[in-house]
Amino acid sequence: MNTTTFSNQELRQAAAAVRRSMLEQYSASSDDHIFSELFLTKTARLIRHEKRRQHWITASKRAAAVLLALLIGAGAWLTFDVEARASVLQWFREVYENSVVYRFTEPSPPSSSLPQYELSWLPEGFERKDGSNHPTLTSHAYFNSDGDVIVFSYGLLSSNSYLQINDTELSLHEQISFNNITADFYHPTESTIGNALVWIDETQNIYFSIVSTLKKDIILHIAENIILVTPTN
Amino acid sequence: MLIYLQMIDSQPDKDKFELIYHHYRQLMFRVAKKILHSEAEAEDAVHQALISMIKLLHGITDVYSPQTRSLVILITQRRALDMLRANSRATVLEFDEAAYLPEIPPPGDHALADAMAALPPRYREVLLLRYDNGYTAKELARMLDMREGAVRKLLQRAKEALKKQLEGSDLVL
Repeated sequence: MNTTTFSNQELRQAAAAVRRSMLEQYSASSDDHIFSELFLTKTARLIRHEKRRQHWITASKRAAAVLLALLIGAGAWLTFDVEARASVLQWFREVYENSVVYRFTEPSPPSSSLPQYELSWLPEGFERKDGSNHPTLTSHAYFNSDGDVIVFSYGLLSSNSYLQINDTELSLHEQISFNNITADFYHPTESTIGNALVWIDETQNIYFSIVSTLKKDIILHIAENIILVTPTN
Repeated sequence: MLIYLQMIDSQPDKDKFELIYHHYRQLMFRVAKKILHSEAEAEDAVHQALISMIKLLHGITDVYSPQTRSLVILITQRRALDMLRANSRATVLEFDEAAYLPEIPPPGDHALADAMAALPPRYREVLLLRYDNGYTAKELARMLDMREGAVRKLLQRAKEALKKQLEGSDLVL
């Protein structure tokens, strides 16, 4: 053995041996402690927050991937017609038993690139923690210390794509307006579930969505303060 | 439940913390009470240790493994010692952590492992977290609320202490 330095392998083996020796001191005991009500209450709250936080971390990471899968159609989106066209984008909303699908009927090409948007207003305490950027789809997730989350997504649309919102049977839906935009708001009836605001910018073939655990008026205020940072080329 | 865009719940991530809590809370309490000698303070230390565990969930692949059990003990010990030091008004240099922790019996290899077991708790803890649990210096910095540079220095000093322990003892290399 080298007396001046230790290899990682040597240190790992020694650490494992020390760990085994340490664990032998804490063998199982039949004398269980009865935790106080205060401890149980604090810990139950901690578990709830952690479950909620993990749920939305998973959601924000998967939302962009799933949405991208929805947006990729037969592959036609890869071939861009860069010439300007005067066609008007037509879209309509289909309501199924358990989901809502936004479809686009006109063969208008996607823009050559996705503009960049940002949320210029956020409730206090929120920080951007996660996100994904793709040429035709962007998704950002914001969290606060209470476990609340905001997922802001936007993406390019074409006739080969559609936007689907699932499990809407338990949600209430209403049409609302802000900044001269008509949007769909989905808010479920259970208090622990998130709300979704969805709208389309027909002039740019871009859909927008905000999914959050926050209340409708806050989500609307966020939407009203979305700003264009970098226009499309 | 409104599942926007077919989110798939990650069952292991979501429930890992709850599993850790239910499986280890009695152990954590015993570890903390051995140091603090007060049930109320031991519960506080357990709560603080659980909060610390949240930061480490991503690195835990098996809730029931010996490495996870060891991690839980080390984190609980650290939180209990922090509470004790804060209450004792002793400076960092005056506070002898070894006086509050049970001695770890030498593993019996008459070499590196025995020397590691005999190290001061702070050095032994960081070596176990780095080489048995596999945390990087960056992850240890987050776990121990230290700067990454300070963690690297602590690891270096721990290895130097290990060398001195070996050189100054009858242990055979």
